[in-house]
Amino acid sequence: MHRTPGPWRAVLALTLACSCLAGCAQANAHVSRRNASDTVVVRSQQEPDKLNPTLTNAISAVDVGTPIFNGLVGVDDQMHLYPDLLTALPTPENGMVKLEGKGMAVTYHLRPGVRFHDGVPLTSHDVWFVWKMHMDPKVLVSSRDGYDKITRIDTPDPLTAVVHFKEPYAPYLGLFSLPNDPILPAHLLEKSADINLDGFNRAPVGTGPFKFKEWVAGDHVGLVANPDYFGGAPKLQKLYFKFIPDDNAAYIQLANGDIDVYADFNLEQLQPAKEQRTFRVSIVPSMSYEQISFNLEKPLFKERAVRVALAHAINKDEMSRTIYKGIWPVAHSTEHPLSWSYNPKLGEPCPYDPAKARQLLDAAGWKVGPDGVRVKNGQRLSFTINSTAGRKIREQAELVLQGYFKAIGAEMKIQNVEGGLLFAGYPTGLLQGGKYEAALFAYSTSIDPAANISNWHTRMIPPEGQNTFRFRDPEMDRILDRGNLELRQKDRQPLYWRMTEILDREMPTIPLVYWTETHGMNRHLHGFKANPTSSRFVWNVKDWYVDSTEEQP
Amino acid sequence: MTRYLARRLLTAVPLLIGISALLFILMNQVPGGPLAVYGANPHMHAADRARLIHAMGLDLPIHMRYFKWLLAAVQGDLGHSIFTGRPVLEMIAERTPNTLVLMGLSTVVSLVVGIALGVYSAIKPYSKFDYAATTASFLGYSLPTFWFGIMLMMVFAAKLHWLPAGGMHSLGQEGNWVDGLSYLVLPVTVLSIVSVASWSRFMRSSMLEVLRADFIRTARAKGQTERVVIGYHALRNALLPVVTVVMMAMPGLFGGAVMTETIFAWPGIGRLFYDSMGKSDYPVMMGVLMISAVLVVVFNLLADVLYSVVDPRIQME
Repeated sequence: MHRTPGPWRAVLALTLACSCLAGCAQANAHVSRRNASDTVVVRSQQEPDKLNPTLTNAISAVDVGTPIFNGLVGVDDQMHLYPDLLTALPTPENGMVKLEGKGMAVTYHLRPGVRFHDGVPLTSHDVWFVWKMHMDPKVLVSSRDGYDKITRIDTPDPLTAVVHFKEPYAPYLGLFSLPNDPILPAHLLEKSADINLDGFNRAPVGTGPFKFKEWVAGDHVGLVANPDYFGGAPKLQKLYFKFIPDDNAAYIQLANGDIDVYADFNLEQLQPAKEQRTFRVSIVPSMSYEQISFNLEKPLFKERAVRVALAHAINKDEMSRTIYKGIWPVAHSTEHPLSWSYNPKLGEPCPYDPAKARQLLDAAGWKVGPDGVRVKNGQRLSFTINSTAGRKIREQAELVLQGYFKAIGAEMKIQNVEGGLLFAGYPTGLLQGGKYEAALFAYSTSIDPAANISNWHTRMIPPEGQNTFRFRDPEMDRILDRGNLELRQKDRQPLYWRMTEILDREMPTIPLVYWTETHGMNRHLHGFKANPTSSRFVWNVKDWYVDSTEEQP
Repeated sequence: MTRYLARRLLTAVPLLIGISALLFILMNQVPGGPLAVYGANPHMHAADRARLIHAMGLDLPIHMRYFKWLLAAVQGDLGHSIFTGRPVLEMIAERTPNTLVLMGLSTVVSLVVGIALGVYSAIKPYSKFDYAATTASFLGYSLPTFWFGIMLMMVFAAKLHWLPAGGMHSLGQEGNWVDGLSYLVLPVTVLSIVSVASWSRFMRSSMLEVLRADFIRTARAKGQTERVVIGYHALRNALLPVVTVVMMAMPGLFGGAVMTETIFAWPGIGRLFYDSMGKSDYPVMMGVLMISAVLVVVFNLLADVLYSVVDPRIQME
């Protein structure tokens, strides 16, 4: 037994092989970027399911799809709309939006000379096809919002589409556009036996600045520059989306220069990120906000005084500073400050004021009981909050809220559940099924405030829509209906400002903080401009470039 | 022998059907379902949900859906993923080589190291080496993979820059096996360290038992060198039960390692399963689980057959 036995030799060989590999790799150590200067690698947490944004709800599919496709209308980082595949935005002012009978007609003039990646020109027939596809019962489109109001689309010439609606539809500029409804090539999809299963969804053809090149399952999607892009050739040649599920692994890869963009940092990673030299961090408030929903059908929350008192008990500034690390800013409204529907004059409806909260409850007849919890007519001021289990930041927020409420004599119990159970459809889901008292989760606002109709209209109480608050207010219903029918922004703005006033008075939801779009990017990457809307950070990928002259290890 | 095989295979059929029915029912009990990914999408109305449920075929009663699935499955069609719209078999097939490489290599490494450690510990029982190996293997066995994986990554990728932090190859280096090996080192290490423990423990006790046997004493009495006694007589006999255990471990190779594959962004079957579970992609989940179930049945049978081959004393009835 004095000679090394066989297995040991193998171990030895493997160890040697490892150290050799490590040695080779070490030659590259401390280089701040490892990709060629015409190539950018973006981390995607999840693998997209399909690269057809119309058929998916996955954010990763929208991120990868955005460089490949265009919509008729785009949204920039200041939330301004711009004509993308159009020569001009159709508005009532320029005569391209007209009322006709009970409905309206919108004329879209397509940009001439636009071609799909396979060389086929874009025509008004493609616009018509997008509508048809949305209305096809076999196609797995998640929403037909707006498309179901279209009665017909005329295509008098290849560059003109006249869309007829059965009634005025104010958010018409959101149709036929990214993130979910880009213009797809009718010539490739029209004859498909089943669009849901079509190979197109895995090898898409669009009009965008980047063309699809490859999809290596579980690993990455590769795109290449479209030199014929109508908006000018992109500055990069290659764009990769690498699927890295684990946040820590992604962070290390960003710090090591393996990837150039790490979208959606988590808050815990921000502090160490500030000390890194290989990358910068961009932070913009997103369209999502963290909020507390009340179920107004529960006896306790039928009472307005209770909702308002709870709102006054919360120190949002302190929460933003501590739990949300000073990164997520306080939210005063359901509308995004960059949106025209946001009323800057309103400010915080229920400022932090525990004394006032106690006063309100006293006045409403809630007397402090022996255990410190208020009681009225035998009912204790006690409720349960539901949130998504396993999210540390929400658990911390709940503990802090518990303390705030206790200080005014209200008891909050915490019961966190699987996201699937919280958000499941009617009647299973806690929210949809009305099987909750209060809930802590995030809402996403849309670029056009018309989407509020789904949250606040009496008609939209589940199962019909997302009015999981069970909010009923006749004035609100009138306002929201009007908001969908008025076509001019100046006529719509007072309506949505009034909407905010009603919400401020009734407090069916307490907005706490806005989320942020927090992205890390290699310091040699330039042109990156995060967009708070669902166009996200990829919206201007055509302008990204790497300054290789800085590239000195 | 033929009759034995035929009987075993026949009894496997109702077993597999039972497993599939149970899995199908359990899967559908998870709240949320495939539509939960749409969350609180304000643009989605009741009619949209009903339309999607119908288009996905989820409005049929569960037993109808199960029989539809079963009928297709016995003809080799595992259906299409709800989300990607691709055939489940195709999705599994493209991940299988990746998982086999990762799991195969770590099984080989852990077997070689485990057997060597086990044999050496058995030859010198209760020596310093034996105690050290025992302690080390229990330590390795108790390491949570997600923590250990991240630690290795912190040291070898973030601090030392020796090895890449996850993935399967550098972009554009798909055919370069040296590049590929550097990506394998960390995940293989994580997976091996955990299983070295059980292999070496198993090997040690099997070897100890054999070393006490009469024929070993006889061999020594005949004047055989220690190398021949250990390497030829003892090792060969001690490996017999290991063959069975290795066979039983084979189906696990297909299933991949959910945690390790996720941490190291390894595009294997474990991650495919994990992703599908997050979205309630029933057909993909069923596909992966049923292939695993079939493999378990097959390898169990194979283990029994192989055992009678390597040990002629065992007769199959």
